[in-house]
Amino acid sequence: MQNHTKVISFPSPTPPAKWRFFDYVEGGNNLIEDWYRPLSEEARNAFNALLKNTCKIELPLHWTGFKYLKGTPKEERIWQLDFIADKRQYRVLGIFGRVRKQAIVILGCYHKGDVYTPQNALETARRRARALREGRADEPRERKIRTDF
Amino acid sequence: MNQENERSELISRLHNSLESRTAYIKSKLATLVPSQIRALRLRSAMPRQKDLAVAAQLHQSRISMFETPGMANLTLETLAKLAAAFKVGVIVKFVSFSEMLRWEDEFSQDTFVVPKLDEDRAFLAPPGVHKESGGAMATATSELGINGFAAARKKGSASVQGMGSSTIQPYVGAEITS
Repeated sequence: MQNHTKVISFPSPTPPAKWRFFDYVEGGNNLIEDWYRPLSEEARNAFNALLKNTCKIELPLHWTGFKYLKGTPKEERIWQLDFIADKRQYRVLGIFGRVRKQAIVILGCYHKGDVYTPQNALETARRRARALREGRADEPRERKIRTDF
Repeated sequence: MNQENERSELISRLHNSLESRTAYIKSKLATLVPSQIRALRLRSAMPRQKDLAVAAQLHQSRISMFETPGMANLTLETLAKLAAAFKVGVIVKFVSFSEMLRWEDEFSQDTFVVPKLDEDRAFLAPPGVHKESGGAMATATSELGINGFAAARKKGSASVQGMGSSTIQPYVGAEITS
């Protein structure tokens, strides 16, 4: 006699895929790594810890320190992640990639009062965002999120 | 630099430098504490910062600061106020580096859920209380209801202490050791 018992197996719940962060590259140079490398150890640790936590959060609006830059047209939305280290307010600017859960960091800078350092940070970010959207920029390079191994 | 070299370099820095250890610890705290506050707020009955500010008797701008990585030096007093507003507890515990790292690795803001006082059966009616203390506290809780119990505690220690310290002690101890 045939056994007609149907075995239904449920896949074990897998955590949702993490966000992947990419660095803006221009002329072959990873400009985000160029910004990151000379930062203090405190700032580098803070940036790494921020990305490590952020990549696990599904909705960008729930990311800590996240907001969209005001005054950018919807189709060119640039986001900003804030964090503090060395008593300085750091800003990481980026855009979302075309692929799901892909975030591209386009610039790192400081912010005090209403002033960004470097002063042309926002213009630069907009220029880079446009270059990426129009396909003129180099292929962004995936950022390895330091997970302390 | 490959991963193995990076790791040895990090460990060497942590061994040798107080500043490195401080920066390392700070980076975890400065990210995970704001992330917990944000998670609790978004899941609470006061998902807007201004509602939490009212509940915690803090200024809204401070709530925003507390949720920004590294932004605020949170005092124990402020942590207690926030926890009280969320109706949850908070522990600050010194741990090994490996435990701190495990906490960071396993933490997920999206799945971070803490039972509120009203839902916290283990606190409100721990199983041991009936056996050990004759159930005086559990009876008090069920008779007063959760709000009544809170009201009794708010009213002052007299009404709670009136049940006798022998009732109170095992109850408190049970929570601390669990």
